[in-house]
Amino acid sequence: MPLPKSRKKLVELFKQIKDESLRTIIAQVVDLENENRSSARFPIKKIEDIVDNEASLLEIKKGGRNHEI
Amino acid sequence: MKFEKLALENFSSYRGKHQIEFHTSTDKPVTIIVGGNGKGKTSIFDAINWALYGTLYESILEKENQKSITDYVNETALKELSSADESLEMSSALQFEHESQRYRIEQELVVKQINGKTEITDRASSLYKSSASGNWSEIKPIDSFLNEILPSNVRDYFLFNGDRINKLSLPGSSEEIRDGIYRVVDLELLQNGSIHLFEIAKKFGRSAKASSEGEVADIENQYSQARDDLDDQKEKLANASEEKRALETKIEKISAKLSKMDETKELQSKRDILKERLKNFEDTQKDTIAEMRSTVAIASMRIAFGEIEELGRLLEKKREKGEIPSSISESLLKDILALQKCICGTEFKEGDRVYKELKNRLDSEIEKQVKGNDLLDLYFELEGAKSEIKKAQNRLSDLESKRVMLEKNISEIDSEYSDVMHKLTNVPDENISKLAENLQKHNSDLSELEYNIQVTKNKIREKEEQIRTLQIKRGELGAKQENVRKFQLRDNLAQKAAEELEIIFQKFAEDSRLEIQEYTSEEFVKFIPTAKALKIGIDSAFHYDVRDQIGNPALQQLSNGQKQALSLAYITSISRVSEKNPPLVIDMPFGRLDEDVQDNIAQRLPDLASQVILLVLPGSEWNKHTQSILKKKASDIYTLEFDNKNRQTTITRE
Repeated sequence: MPLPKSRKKLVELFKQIKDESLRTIIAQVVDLENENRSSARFPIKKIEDIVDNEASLLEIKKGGRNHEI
Repeated sequence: MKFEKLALENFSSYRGKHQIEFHTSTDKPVTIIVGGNGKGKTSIFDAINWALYGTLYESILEKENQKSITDYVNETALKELSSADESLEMSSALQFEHESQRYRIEQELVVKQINGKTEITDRASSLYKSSASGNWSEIKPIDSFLNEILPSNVRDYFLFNGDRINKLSLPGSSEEIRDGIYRVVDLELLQNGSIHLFEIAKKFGRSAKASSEGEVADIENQYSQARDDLDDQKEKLANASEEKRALETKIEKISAKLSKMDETKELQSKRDILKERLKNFEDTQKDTIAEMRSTVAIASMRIAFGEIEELGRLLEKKREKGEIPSSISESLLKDILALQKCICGTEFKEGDRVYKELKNRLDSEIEKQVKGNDLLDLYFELEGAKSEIKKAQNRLSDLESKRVMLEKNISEIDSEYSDVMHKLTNVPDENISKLAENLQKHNSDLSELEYNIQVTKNKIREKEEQIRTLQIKRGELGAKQENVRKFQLRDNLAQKAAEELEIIFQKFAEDSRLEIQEYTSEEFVKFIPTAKALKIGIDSAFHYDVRDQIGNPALQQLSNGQKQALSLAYITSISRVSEKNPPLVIDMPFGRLDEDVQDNIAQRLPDLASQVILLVLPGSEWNKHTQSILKKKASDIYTLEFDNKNRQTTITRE
């Protein structure tokens, strides 16, 4: 099924984010928001996990060096 | 998404089981459901909403209509419960097709009457999908499935009623317009994602501060303080922007009232002139009728006109025959008797034979004269009467023409007067100077607020600059303490992701506004072709923006019907932009619209969605105009009849 025009536009805007880690975080956060759009209680801890996972990955990649954003 | 069938059981006025099928096709995408007030039309609308959104729709009903779902349990079926142990089921099930798959979503309630109250003892929500073999399998959870195809927060733009159209056309609707634009194109997701990421960044920042020591702790404190200050300023800006929006709404409302008041003054003056003219015409009408009454008595003699003329002819004949003598013979005889000499020369004396003979003839002439005079008088009277009757007849004809003309004038003025009075009852009865004073105050408050907003924005820029400087120092120093560095990394990632998402959100919001503005403008001209010269928009503050040919604001010049057409154009544009393409279900779509606007909208509605379900009132909405347009596009027309005795609605397919 083709993506709706608005989603395509969103993907285009996401592509403009140069930093891959930020792109990954944003994509996962938007997915999480979509899954929980009708939930009375948003699982904020999951956002923390998304950021933490991406940071850990960076740390592994950079051998524990500080990631300069 | 296409609705196929709605099945109800003991829902509202639908006692027992009922079903409505939607056989819509590409060339006949419309289903019409016709029902008068209180006959179960809105219950169908509620049943569709309840089937889809269950408890969420129940809370909307509570909030907007102060109605509980138990109020929808059929009252007759409830009364028939013989004991408190006996229960009753109420349900609404909607079968629909989505992406070549068939689904059935259902809400069921089991209720009992306990101490005179309807209590829910059990309930169920279910969603089933049909397999190729025709078996139904349950899908869970329902919410996430519906979120994909028709999220509850965009429901308002696909399933709505005339009141909503009206509400969106009133001043102060900008917030709702903004919300609509944000919701349908998933902007809410971006906005919420950004808020949540900022929240997490702050949390990591606090952890970094808590784990830092020495000079790292100093810089973390400064950084944390600067971030808190920035948040405060941002909150201040958000509050001021909200306050500004509220003030703008107030100004918009007062301006609309004041513009109506100018109209009110004009209407009042028009009303007075019309009232005076009406009184003059009515007085003249009374005089005319009185004169007609007196004239008609004479003119009514016309019925004896034939007899009068016949009598005239008879008298004329008598005159010709000399039966009606002239006074000459009487004078002659008197002269002869006085002279005592006849015209033949014979002389006579008083008392002799000739005298007696002449005297007898004179007496007979006098007698004839008396009778003749009476007849002569009668003859002349009849001639006079004939002339009076003719005059009265002509006058009566003139008076009748005058009366008809007066009646026409009175009816026209009366209708104009009623129209003015109707308009006058719909304008606010408030003191103009008080409103103008409030407007001035709000405008002054708004200027001050705008100044404060600018100051806050400058402070935010300064703070952001300070944070950037601190971030560099923080990075340099943080590298010295591993724990702090870890948290700083996470804080920075979350912070940057939140900022990027915020930029995307703003860009996307602006693009969506422009797109919806374009569709709204396009749709409005289709609804009101005569408004082609107007430029229609939704400005950056999400107000409707209508400009005339030379660019002057023209929103207030639109009639109420045109304003409603504008909000309908906006709602349907939202549904177009969303690309979700569910059915468009509108309860009383034409209720508050002018007749000409009704026609244009009826013409356009079938093209707005692949399936359109209209719940209409007979007469004002389902009339010869809308019928002639929509019958060609309707696959099904259902009529709702309410039986007062049995308190239940029946559905009949035409």
